Amino acid sequence: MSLLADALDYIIQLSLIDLVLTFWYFFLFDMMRYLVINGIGLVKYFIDEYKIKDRKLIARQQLFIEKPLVSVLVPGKNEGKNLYKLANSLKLQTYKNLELIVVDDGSDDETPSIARHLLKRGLIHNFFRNEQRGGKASAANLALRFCKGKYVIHLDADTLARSDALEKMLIHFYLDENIAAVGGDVRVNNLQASVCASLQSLEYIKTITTARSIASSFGILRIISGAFGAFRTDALKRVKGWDVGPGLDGDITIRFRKIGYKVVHEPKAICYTNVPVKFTKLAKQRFRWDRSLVRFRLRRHRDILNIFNHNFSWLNFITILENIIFNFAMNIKWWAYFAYIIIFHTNSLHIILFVNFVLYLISNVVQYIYALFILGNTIKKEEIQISLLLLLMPFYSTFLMRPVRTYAHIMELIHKVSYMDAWNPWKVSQNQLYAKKNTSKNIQFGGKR
Amino acid sequence: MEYYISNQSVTPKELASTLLFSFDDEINATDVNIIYIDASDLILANKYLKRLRQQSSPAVYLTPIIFICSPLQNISPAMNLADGLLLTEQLDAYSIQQVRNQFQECQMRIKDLAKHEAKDIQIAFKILRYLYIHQCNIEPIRTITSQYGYRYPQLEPFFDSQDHSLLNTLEFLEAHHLLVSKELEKSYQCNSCESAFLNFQETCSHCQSSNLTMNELIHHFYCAHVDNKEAFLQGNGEMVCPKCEKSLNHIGADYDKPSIVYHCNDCQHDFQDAQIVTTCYNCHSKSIPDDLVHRKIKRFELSALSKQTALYGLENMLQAVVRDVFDAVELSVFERFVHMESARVHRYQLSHSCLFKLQINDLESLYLELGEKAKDFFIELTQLIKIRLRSCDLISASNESTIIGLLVETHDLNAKIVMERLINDIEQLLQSSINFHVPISSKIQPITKSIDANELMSLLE
Repeated sequence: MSLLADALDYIIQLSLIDLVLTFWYFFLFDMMRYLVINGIGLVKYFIDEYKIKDRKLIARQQLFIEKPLVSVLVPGKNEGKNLYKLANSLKLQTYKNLELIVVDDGSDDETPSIARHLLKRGLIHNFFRNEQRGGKASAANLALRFCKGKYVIHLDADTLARSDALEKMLIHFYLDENIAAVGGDVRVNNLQASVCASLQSLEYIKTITTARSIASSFGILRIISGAFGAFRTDALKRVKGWDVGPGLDGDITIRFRKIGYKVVHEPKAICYTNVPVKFTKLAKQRFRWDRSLVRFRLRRHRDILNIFNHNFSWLNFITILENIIFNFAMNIKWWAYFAYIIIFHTNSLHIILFVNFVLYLISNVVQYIYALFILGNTIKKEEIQISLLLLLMPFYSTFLMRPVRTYAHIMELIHKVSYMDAWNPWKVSQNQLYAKKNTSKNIQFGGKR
Repeated sequence: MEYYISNQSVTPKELASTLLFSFDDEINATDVNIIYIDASDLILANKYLKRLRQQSSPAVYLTPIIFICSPLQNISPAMNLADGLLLTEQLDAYSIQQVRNQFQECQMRIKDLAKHEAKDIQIAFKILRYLYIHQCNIEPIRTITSQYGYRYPQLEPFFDSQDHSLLNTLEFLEAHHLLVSKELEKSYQCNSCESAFLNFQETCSHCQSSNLTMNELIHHFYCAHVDNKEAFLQGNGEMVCPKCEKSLNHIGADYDKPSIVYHCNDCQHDFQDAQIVTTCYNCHSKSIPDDLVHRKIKRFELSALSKQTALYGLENMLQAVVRDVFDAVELSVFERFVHMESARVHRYQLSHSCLFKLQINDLESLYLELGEKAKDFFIELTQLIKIRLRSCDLISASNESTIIGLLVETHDLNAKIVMERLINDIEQLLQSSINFHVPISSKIQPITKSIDANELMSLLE
């Protein structure tokens, strides 16, 4: 209580300018970005939703009149144990004209026999197996090569889609013919497995449900989740499928945007996935994910920032710039801020940290409330129960996510570690690394539409 | 004595010591050592050989038989049903002597058996004796002349036709530990006609069409592009990635071939696991490999038990089963009981007891039909009999196909009813389990005071 009293005394004695100068990091960046801009975005999102309400009904009718074949692609390794559940969840979908294509990327467990059994039973429509692992991108491209659907759903084997999820995503293709991809809302299935999983559930609600819905509303969505995304098959074939990851989902989204397609997020198209239950595993996962910012935004797609580029688009520019500023630059600035308060506020360090905690807690609570508006009646009881853990979110973001992200950025910038990641087979990583060293030629994907 | 069978009127000078017979002549003699057959007409020679092997006299059917043929005939091992071949150009005193030496021991063994002047009827027993006398193993010979894809040519003459009988007989002997087998290979055979001549085809898993194109997939490491090899191939034979336009030079370094995908040209389905369908060349029926008959192709050898059995007779299976299941009495014991019952009936003049005889004729065909399963069938059969009889009735077996019994305190009319029901039961069993018919006969002989026990037994014969 004395810390709270000290903090209050400390804040009261500060002038407004001193307050901003001491907590500039929060007030100038986090509050502006996540509370103010997201708040405006939220209003825009609901206005947009209201505007297209009737058109969505018509689009749904069109979808069910046309009933195009939709190919559900499930590439993966050692995912046999999840296939039966997955196939059954697809049978329960409100949209029925589906073909489920499973690609086994060099599994060394029972996956091939399970998949063949399900194929015989008609629960899977086609099954391909690569004896040698080729990586997620090649497995997805193999499925894309042989799929027959007008639209493609890319799904991770361990995700379970809500019964109306596919329908909700597919409707967007009938709302705007320029939409090439629709992202589904990924939520945590095993949120009660551990504190780590619960915190990730809160994080997913904040960064996927809220942030992507608002980014989509502003037209600056930069990623269609690899776990659950819908694509126009012709658009996918135009960009010639997925490229080598990690981060292939973000990469393909940017490639769609570069050739003029729109990408949107549909928070009502919900799928549930399992997340790491231990912090060590989570750190490894994020170390892999966070490197893609450097690999793809700063390196591969930096041409988007070139205003003299003949393909230049302000929306694409903002999309990448926002990502670079708030995930890369602000991350570095946070360390600078941390150093600043240690050096200049040594005596009141504990109070400043406490106030920061309170400010970030408030920010998290407000963002959670934003999410509740978007989630509406799709929120589950368990997701409300874990809201008490919002108290831990400032620690989770600051002391776990931020160091991992910083480390990932540095390692990728200096050592290009993503090219050596075991996530890809060594033959693929080695080839990527060798090719990068020996050629400066960029890959060209299609022309402007 | 050696015989030469030919339609020629002259014996080759090297076989001057032999007796000349024509193909129309029957051989019944017991002193024959070797029979040479002129095989210039192989069909005729094989036919004659078959007649010899199907005789019941061991002295005849066991005799070594040598075909004399011309080198131009080029008789394949699968078509040679004889014990040996002599080419006309090899026909000299030396080779004749070699043949005699080769079969000397065999002839000794035949002579020992022939002393008994027995008649062998059971084919299984004849085959066992033949194998023992000739001390030979039975090797399967791969051939297109048999629908099974292999034959045991030496044993074929013992049978009228080329059906399952030969294989069933070998299995029967193996089941009774008289032969031991070694599996040489497995054969997939048509489930309809058992032909081994099958065409294996890859077919579409959707429409079963065999109009398929097989495509090799290429995975380009650099850009993760995956497509059929044709999509990468340029006119000059080089491979260039259609996605990133890079050259693919080294397999393993630039690209790999992760799998093969079939494309059905009829229904346009793409798939990896083609369904294998077999078509039988013989009966044209289609099947999947799982439904094919899997037959073991075996080599058979004589077992340790085979010598005794070949010399002293094949144990009567029906008798053995009857003894085991009923705890049946020996025939001599049975006769003593008949004496006692006859005396009792005669003494008190109150009882009506009956003897019965139940004979299953043509047991041979039943053995051949059932092979190794014959024993199970006989157990089932004896259990049927057991149900119809009472514990006070007495059972024995007079020979391999005849069961005799004593029904005490049973009037001949009631005994007749029991027999009728029993025959009906057995016929139904045969019909329902193997759809087979063998003649079954029965006889009832009431025990009366006017007929003594010995006469009763002889009347039952």
